[in-house]
Amino acid sequence: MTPLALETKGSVLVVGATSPIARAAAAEFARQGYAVILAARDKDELDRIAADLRIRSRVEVTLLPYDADLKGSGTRLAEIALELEPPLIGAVWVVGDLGDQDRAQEDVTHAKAIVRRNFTGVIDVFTPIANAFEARGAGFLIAVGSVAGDRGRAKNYVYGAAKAALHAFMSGMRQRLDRKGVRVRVVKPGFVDTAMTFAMGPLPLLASPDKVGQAVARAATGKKDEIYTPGPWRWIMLIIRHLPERVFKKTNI
Amino acid sequence: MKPLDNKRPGRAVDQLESWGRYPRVPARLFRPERMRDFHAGEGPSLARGLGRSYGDAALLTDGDVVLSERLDRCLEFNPETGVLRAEAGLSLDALIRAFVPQGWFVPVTPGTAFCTLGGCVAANVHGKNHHRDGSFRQGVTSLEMLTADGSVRDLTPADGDDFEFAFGGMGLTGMIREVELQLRPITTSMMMVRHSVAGNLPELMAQMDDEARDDQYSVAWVDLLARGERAGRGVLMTGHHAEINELPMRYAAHPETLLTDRPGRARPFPFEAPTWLLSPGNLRLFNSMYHKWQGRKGTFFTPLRTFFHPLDAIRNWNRMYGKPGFVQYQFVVPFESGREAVTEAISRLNAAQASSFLAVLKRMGASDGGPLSFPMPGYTLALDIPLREGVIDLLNNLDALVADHGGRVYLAKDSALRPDTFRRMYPEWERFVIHKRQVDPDGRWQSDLARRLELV
Ligand SMILES: Cc1cc2nc3c(=O)[nH]c(=O)nc-3n(C[C@H](O)[C@H](O)[C@H](O)COP(=O)(O)OP(=O)(O)OC[C@H]3O[C@@H](n4cnc5c(N)ncnc54)[C@H](O)[C@@H]3O)c2cc1C
Ligand SMILES: NC(=O)c1ccc[n+]([C@@H]2O[C@H](COP(=O)([O-])OP(=O)(O)OC[C@H]3O[C@@H](n4cnc5c(N)ncnc54)[C@H](OP(=O)(O)O)[C@@H]3O)[C@@H](O)[C@H]2O)c1
Repeated sequence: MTPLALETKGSVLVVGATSPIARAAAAEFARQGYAVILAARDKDELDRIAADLRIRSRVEVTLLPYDADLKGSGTRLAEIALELEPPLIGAVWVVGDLGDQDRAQEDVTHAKAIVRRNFTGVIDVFTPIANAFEARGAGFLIAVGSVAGDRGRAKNYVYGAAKAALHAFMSGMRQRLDRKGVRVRVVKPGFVDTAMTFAMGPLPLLASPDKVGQAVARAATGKKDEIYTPGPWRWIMLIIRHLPERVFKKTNI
Repeated sequence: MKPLDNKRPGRAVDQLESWGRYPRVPARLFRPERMRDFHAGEGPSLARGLGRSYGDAALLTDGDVVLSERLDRCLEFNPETGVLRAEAGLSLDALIRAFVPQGWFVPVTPGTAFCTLGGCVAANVHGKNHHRDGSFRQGVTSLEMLTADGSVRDLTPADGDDFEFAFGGMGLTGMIREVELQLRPITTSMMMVRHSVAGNLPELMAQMDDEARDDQYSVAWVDLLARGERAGRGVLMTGHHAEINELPMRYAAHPETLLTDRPGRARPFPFEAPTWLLSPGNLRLFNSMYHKWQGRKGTFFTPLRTFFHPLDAIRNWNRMYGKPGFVQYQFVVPFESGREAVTEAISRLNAAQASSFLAVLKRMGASDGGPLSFPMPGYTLALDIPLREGVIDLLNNLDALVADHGGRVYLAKDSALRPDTFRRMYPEWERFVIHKRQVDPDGRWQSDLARRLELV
């Protein structure tokens, strides 16, 4: 019944698709005519987001279950995504969990869960996809990191450490794959107006999830390897990164 | 599957306000990102859309106010019939953006597009086509509602009061999760509009009542500051969706642009205005110019956004009234005593030097929806009144006049009505209260409006 998209450009896999940032990114890919594959745990939300995408952009939307806390889930997700038609051309990792830093300091299981949801989970998903893109000599991989990964802070260092690992993982893949025609990008948002920040009250440089999602989708075709969004965070983080440890440890930044 | 993380953090605010910026109250705000988190809090709770009601309908002092704005997904759409099912947080702005290019428009729209489907149902909003097409209720075929006992109900007109009372129910019968509505087919995104001048109120009303002059959409701007023979002079503005063959050749030459939506970029109102800006002298000058300028336009074509939502071009225009805020006063009185009541209201407003330049007069058609739904056959007048000393007394005085004439004020814009006058205006109020006690025995859904009118 739904008319097909004008031209099919290939599929883009969005992991963590129930995040409002991911929803905006998927909408932008759909608008550009890509078929989208959405993966996350929350089936009811996935159904709603998929229906909305289909109605607004008339593209093909496929839903797949994914749970970073479940052994084998990431590997299976990559396997299925690589077999779908139209062929996979890009993958976006938006999965993340700020977790509870206080709890993580007491409960190591929680700390490890945070690391899994922000970082180790991506290894299962992106490794086979990266290899397939390398063999094909085309494709893009995008991960949503965070400014929190640029420097470990008392307030959220488990999350920050996981994001830092994610950034390093992507940077290594970039050096390996860029020359093979595969684009590897990291988007580092500052504060985004989502559930994560709502309770904190008004924050400086707060970006809408739509803006960040669009930046994520634009990263696929843009020239920048690492994107700070909104832009000024690049300069803020430049300063914060260069504060000597001897000074930084005494601050409450 | 493991339990999901809570995606419903709350935020305590000191001064929650709606569009009139009066009153301002402390509340706990929640903004769920997922439908399952759209529910009441521990104590008294209220659903809230984009806060485009003016008074205290969307406020709840010290309660849990749950925002619907992130729940804005389209769920089902039939391109053959134009029936859309969407989440209650979808704004008319987003709806128009998505569906005008596909040849569909909302069946009824208020004067702003920055309101949600849920808010449009709860206030049973009316548009410039009310005299012909009725209220928002007329376009709605089904609702999904979260009731006080936590169950989710699919409601259709066959469910009687459970369905009907949601229209004008002001969020007091349950949280609306989804709305199914019949969109209106259009062939172009342009409006064919006609303006005509009227020298005074009787002339304006006569033009408005003239069937030959009438059109699908009809509304009049009234100059409340004109005195004597010119009292109530105004400009009648009517229009309909332009058909392709009505448009001048230059549009028809580019068929791909016929259904483009031109939302434009909203400019912010730059500051909280000083009170002298809206002094009587300035208003009089503005009104004279406006009367000449709008009256001269005759018949012309304009994009639908400009026709329906002109104020949306300026974001936060409510700051124009300065820090104290303002009230919008809207009432409807039956046709029989319409002229008398409107004339008297205008003269009382003038005597109190309380009038403003945004005054709108319109004919309303048949009533529909629940007992608290505002529209009824008659003339409706709406105007902004900047808040200052004595305004609430003035409003109560006008309320009595309106009630004496068998009319009523619009609850979505009200912040002053007293319970006894309210009962005279909405004679079926008791049916509403009885229904509310049945569906919500513990008084889960409340609002400052409901508390003020003793509905809870
Ligand atoms: C510039 C301007 C022009 C306007 N013109 C018109 C007009 O021409 N005609 C007209 O009728 N109105 C008009 N209005 C009023 C406006 O359309 C209504 O107040 C409408 O209800 C606003 O929708 P909202 O989503 O902002 O709701 P809110 O203001 O947030 O809430 C309004 C009411 O709806 C309830 N509500 C909201 N969402 C839900 C939900 N999901 N479930 C249950 N209850 C809910 C709230 O509890 C509250 O009682 C105008 C307002 C403005 C600012
Ligand atoms: N919000 C901010 O201010 C901000 C700032 C900087 C960076 N970021 C990053 O941006 C990304 C999106 O953030 P958001 O604020 O939109 O958060 P969100 O709404 O909580 O989204 C998180 C996403 O990750 C998925 N997810 C979480 N745990 C998972 C698990 N165990 N298995 C599979 N999927 C899981 C969630 O899906 P399900 O729950 O459906 O499984 C959801 O799609 C995150 O990586 C976050 O770190 C956010």
